[in-house]
This record gives sequence, structure tokens and C-alpha cells, in this order.
Amino acid sequence: MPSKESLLYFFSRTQSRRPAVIRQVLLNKRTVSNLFWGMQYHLLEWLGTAPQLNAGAFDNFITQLKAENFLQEKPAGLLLTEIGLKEKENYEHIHYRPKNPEFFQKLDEKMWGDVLQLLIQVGSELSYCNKRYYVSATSYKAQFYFKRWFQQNKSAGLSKTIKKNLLSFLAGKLQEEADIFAASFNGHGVIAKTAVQLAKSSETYTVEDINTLWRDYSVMFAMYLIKQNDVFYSLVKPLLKNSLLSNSAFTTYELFNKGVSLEKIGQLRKVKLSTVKEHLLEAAIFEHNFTFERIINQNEYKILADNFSEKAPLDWNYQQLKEKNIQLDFFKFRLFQIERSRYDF
Amino acid sequence: MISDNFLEKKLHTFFGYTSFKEGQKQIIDSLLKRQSTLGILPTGTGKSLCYQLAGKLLNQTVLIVSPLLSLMQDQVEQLHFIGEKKAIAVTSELSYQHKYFVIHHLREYDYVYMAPEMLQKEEVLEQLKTISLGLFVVDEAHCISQWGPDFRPDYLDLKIIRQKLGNPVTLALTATATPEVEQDICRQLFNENESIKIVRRSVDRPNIFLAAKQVDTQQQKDEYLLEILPQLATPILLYFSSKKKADEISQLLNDRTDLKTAAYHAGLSKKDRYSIQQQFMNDQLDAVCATSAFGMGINKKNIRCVLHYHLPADLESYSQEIGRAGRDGQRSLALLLFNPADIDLQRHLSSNSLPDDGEIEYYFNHKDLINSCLQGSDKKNLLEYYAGRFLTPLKLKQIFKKRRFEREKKLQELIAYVETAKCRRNFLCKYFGEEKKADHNVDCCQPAGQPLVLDNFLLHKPGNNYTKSLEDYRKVISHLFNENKR
Ligand SMILES: [Zn+2]
Repeated sequence: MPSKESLLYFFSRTQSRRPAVIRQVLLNKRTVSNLFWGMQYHLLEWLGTAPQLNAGAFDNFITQLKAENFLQEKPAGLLLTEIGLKEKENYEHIHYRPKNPEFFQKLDEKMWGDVLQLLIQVGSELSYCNKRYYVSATSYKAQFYFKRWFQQNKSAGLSKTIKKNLLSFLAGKLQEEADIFAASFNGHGVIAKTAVQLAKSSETYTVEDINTLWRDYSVMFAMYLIKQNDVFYSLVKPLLKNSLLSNSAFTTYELFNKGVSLEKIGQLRKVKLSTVKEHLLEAAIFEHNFTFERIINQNEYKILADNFSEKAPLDWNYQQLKEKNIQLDFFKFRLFQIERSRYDF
Repeated sequence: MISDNFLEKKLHTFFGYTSFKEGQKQIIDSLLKRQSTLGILPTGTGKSLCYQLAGKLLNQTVLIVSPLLSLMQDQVEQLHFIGEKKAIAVTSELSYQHKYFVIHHLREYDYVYMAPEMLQKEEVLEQLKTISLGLFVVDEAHCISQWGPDFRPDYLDLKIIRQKLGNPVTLALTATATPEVEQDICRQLFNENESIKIVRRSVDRPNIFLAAKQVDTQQQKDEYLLEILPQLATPILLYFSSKKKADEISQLLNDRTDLKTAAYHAGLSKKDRYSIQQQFMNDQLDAVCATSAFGMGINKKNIRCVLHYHLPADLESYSQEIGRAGRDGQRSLALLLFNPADIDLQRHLSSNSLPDDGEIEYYFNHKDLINSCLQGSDKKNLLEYYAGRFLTPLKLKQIFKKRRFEREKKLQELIAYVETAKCRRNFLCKYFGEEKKADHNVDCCQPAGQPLVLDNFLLHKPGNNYTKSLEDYRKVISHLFNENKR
């Protein structure tokens, strides 16, 4: 559970933001509305980064932050105050913030955390030729997954390659962070320190910071291994997600890419047309190659551009079209809005 | 008995030990004669070795019913550790495909662990019928006793399941059982005409000094702890009934004493729990502040003191928990801190896990409401189990009333132990239906009202090798991976 002050990070001095959207983004609650607003706030990289978040506690924290004048109520949400900004900067200065939060959603993070512990432990024991040891507390699923990989990739040089990779991955990192990460592994004659113990050795980090650092470094290491393209590629690759879409949206999107019409997709999948549209809005948010032209034609593009180009997408009002008696599906309006506000994460 | 030499030789071949502990050999001997057996052996006296060695000698699959996931996993890990790879726990942690595979290839495993609810599944039972089971083991058999604190409704079905499997030779194991519970196990698990061999080893551990310290306030308790703990021989295991208090006291000890302390409870990540167990095993910690989650599967020989910060639920759990002290046979201390206000706390904890009359009414009349209130709780499981047996609300109220009454009785027995001015050891033995062991003397225990002299348990040991500051990651990594070999 993130601490109260850490939540200030998700608010802005210039853009009012609704706390409920932030909460749902952190929890990975994927309604199109949450995703759309998360995109407008440029917070989608934080999607699902705090699956343990307690909604009640989150809301209490927000109430307290308002009472402390760190956040200010505005019509469109909450705005960071001057002292709120100071507090936020102070917090960021001494606490740990994930460097690549977007990695968290790109692989099965929990499983990888377990697999990584096994990789280090098994590699370590292998280097000492020891076969009698208690395997780190990890899920059965991870143990079976790892065992299968290990049987196929076990070699005399394996331990050396793990060591080499760990050292070169950590070489560019801050010393304290690298030390903390390395202290979290079990191996031959080496027992990992717990989060409480590591927090005690650190000047400023809390237990929460240590846990976050460990998750962040683990996923960064996974991405590092993928790039090395050596024996570990086959360990990490199956854990990567094909797409950031939810499974159901992904299926719809695949059909859409095959050129199937929206109505036909609805029939095939036995879902309502409105659901198909929601899936496609989700796809438009996440998929870089989404073909907007398949839904919005030349003429409609022109209408939308003529009416809205001057303002930022967030300030567009669908009502405006109605007032001018222009018939255009809200779905197309929303898609255009998404196209114009997309960003890389 | 089978010739002495034979079993001892096998013990050495398979497990590397040279001699049996009291009770083990009688049990194995009885099982090899195809005689169902009830073994009452205190924790740490090698209960599991009994079926592990018997299984080896019978050369047939052993099925072990166990109530807790963590227990099963510990056992499987220990078997793997000694090189016995054909052991598996069939639990919810396995994927569907994997579970399916195991269930259809049972004969390929030497040891199969299952929770009782797994045996309720028709598919599982059918597969079990197709193999010849060498041994049916019921671990933590006292869970079958309705009046005990650890009662598991699923255990009541084991008798029927056993019958369906053709009454295989069975070993029921438990660490403690009063004469009442012993009878209950025999009645609930075995058929009337079966003869059961009972092997009971005394709960008494002569090398553990029994003591209790009464204080009047919480503050006094903490002050006493801070005063005495740094003087006591380590390692020390402290038991708490709340996670929060375990955290607090661990922090307090770390801040105010030189002791290296860690808290251990179900609120920690799996990874951290593993680390603490390993650090404790390797003498890198002086003390662990734990809830009852700690200790299962922990086999540390040199624990010098088990201290209870809160009251345990009953004398059964108390004797199990203090039994973790002094497994090396050296003098050790069992000390219980007692503040009269703790009684209400323990009473609250005990009765809170049982549904009350209002909740039973609600369960029958407003099922959806109570379901969301009690989601995932023990209470809900209990209610569902009984309701599934078509019991009326009235009958249920009677059942839980009786259980509440039994728990209160057990709590009163525990308080009587704390307050007894006579020999504590004899009190315990009597409670478990054992003969009086020995005459009381100063090395035996400290009865209530007598001064608590801890001279025998004060010891200073050289500082341990636990470092507080962080090591350079390059150094850690070079320790992890041996340069010379590979
Ligand atoms: Zn005595």
C-alpha cells in the first residue's frame, strides 16, 4: 500500500485530476472511462502498479491531503497547491519511485519475481556444486516453470553468465539501490535480508520503498535480459504479455484487424455492439498501429478537425456537434479524441 | 519386533541417523506388521520420519492427509532436501493441468500430500482406489476432535473416505492429545471392530524449566521484557497473539537492546518469511517475535528460551510451542508473561472465530447478507459445512454453544496452570493423562508465588555475524557465485 504523501506524485499543479481515476488506474480497473482519463492525465504507465491498494485507505489519504492543504478542490478534480508541490518534491527526494512503471504491466511481474529468486539461488548453488538446499519460498507454478527451463539450459557456464549479467546490469545504477537489490537474494551461504532489515540499513527508505525498489529492479532486470538475447531470453520471453489489452478486448481487436465488421464481431463473440466499441476504444488507447481510418472516414475527419482543432482534446465538447446539428456517433468523436491525445509510454 | 539391526540400518541408509527417537521404532514396527496406529509424539520428535521410513520399506505410495498448505509444503521441501524427489503436495497452488496429471499418475509418487477437502472429490477418490496404498496417514489427527481448538469439519469425513478406500493401514499422528481427544480420534477415524495400537510419548521435557511471570499492566510487561531479554541466553523465540504486537516488540527490541530481532507472521511476504526462517536457523538472529504461524517445519535445535508474551489458546498449543525449546537436550526456559487483562483478549480471540446465535440466524434467513460480511472467514466455512449437513439452526446453536463452553474450559485450565502454586510439570502431565514424572525440585519449575530465578539461563554469547549496514553489491554477488568452480 503506497504511503499518503506518495500519492501527491499523481497530481499536477496545472491540471485538475479526479482521485477516483488515479485510484482505478493504480488498481488496473479498466473501464474505457478510467483509461481515457488516465491517458489525459498521462498516468497510464502506472496502470496496475499498486494491485494491493486499499480503496478505503486511498480515499482517506486524499481527504487528509486536502485537509492539509496539499490538494485543492476544483470543478474538474483536485489540483496540487504550492505547498503540496513542495511536499511532493520533498517526498520524491528521499523515497523510491519506480523508474520504469510501464514495465510492470509488460510481463507477469509476480511470477517473474519468483523466477528471478530461483534463478539466482539455483545458479549460486550450482556454482558451489551443491544439490542439498531449501528452495526459496516461491510459488509451485514458478518452480515448475523454472525447472523446465533449467533442465533445457543447464550448462557449465550458466552461473558465470548470470553473474556477468547481474554485474553489468547493476554497474550503471546508484550504489545504494544496487546494494539493496543484491541483498535481497538467497544463495549458497547467503541469506537474503528482509524488507524491514533493509529499511533499517537505509537512511531514508521505508519498508514500502524497499519493496517497490525490489519490484522495479526485478522488472528492469527482466527487460535487460531480454535485450541481451542470450540463454535467459527464453526464460523471460514467455512471461512477457503480448499486448497491454485485457484478454477480451484483445480478441475483439484481433478480429477487427482481420477486417471483420463491428456488427459481425458482436455476433461472433456474442457481445453487444456497445461492448465491441468499448473494446476498440481500449485498443485505440494502447495499440500504436490502431487504424483509425477504418472507423472514421475522410469526411468525418474533416468535420472533427474543423470543429475541434484549436483546443486541447480534453476541452472538446461533443455537445458542440449536436448544437450544430451534425450527426456523428459519440464513438467516433471519442476515437478522434484518443488519436489526438495519444502519447508514448 | 523386527530385528533391531534391520530398522536401524535402514534408518541410516535413508535418513543418515544412527538411532531412533523414543516412540518412532514402535510405530514403524507396528505399521510394518500392518497394524493401524495412533502416534502421540510431541513436536520435534520426528513424527514424519515414522511414515517416511515405513513408506520406504513398504515400497508403496503413502497418502498423507494434512490440514495446512504450509505444513504440506514444508514436508515436501524436507523430503526434496534429503533427495526424495517423488513427493508432492496436491494443493490449490498447482495449476489445473498439473493437478490432473498428478491425480492420474499417483502410483509414480512415493509420498502424496492432500488436504482433506481434496479427498472429497469423486475423481480423486476413484484414482486412489486404483493404486495400492501402502499407508494412509492422518497428520494433526486431533483436528478430528470436535471439542478441540483446531477442529476441522472436513476431518470428520475421513472415516468414510477410509472405508471407501478399503480401510488401508492407517497412521494417525498428533503432537498432543488429552485422554478425551485420544478416544475421540479412535472413535471418529477407525471402525468399531478395529484394534488400534497406541504409541504415546510423554509431553514432558525434563530439560525445559517451566516458569510464569505475572505483571499488572502492559507497560510493566514491556519493561520486564526489556530488562530480562538482553540477559538471557539466545536464541529466543517469542510468541504473540497479534501481528501488530509482534511488530511493535520486535521494533522495540531492535531499538532499545543489542538483540538482533525480527518479526514473523502471516502479514509478511513469502520471501521475507523464508529469509527470517533461514537467518534464525543460521544463528543470524537472537530473537524472533512470532505469531503461531512460526515454527511449523522449523527444526532448530538450540532454542534456549520460548517466551509467551500473550496467553496461548490452551495447554495443547502451549506445550507444543514450548516444545520448540531445547531440542538439543540442553537446559532451556519456557516463560509465560501474564497480565490478567490478557484473559479477555484470549477469550475474545477464541470466541470470535465461532459464529454466534445472531450470525447463525442470519446465515439461514439472509444468506447473501451474511456471505458478504463473513467472506473468507473461518466462521463462514464452519457455517457452510454444517448447513451442508442439513442441520437446523437450533442444532447449530447448540453445537457452537458447546464449543464455546469447551474453549472457555480450556482457557480456565491454562489460567490454572499459570496460577498454580504447585509443580507446573506435574500439572501438565496430569492434564495430558500421564503418570506423575518426578518429584519437584528447584531445577524443575517455578510455581506461582515463588521467586523467578533465571541464573541458569543467563548467558552471554559472542556477537553474531549479522551485519546491519549494507554490503557492496559486487561483494555480495561474488559470494553468491563461486569463481573457482564454474
Ligand atoms: Zn516442578
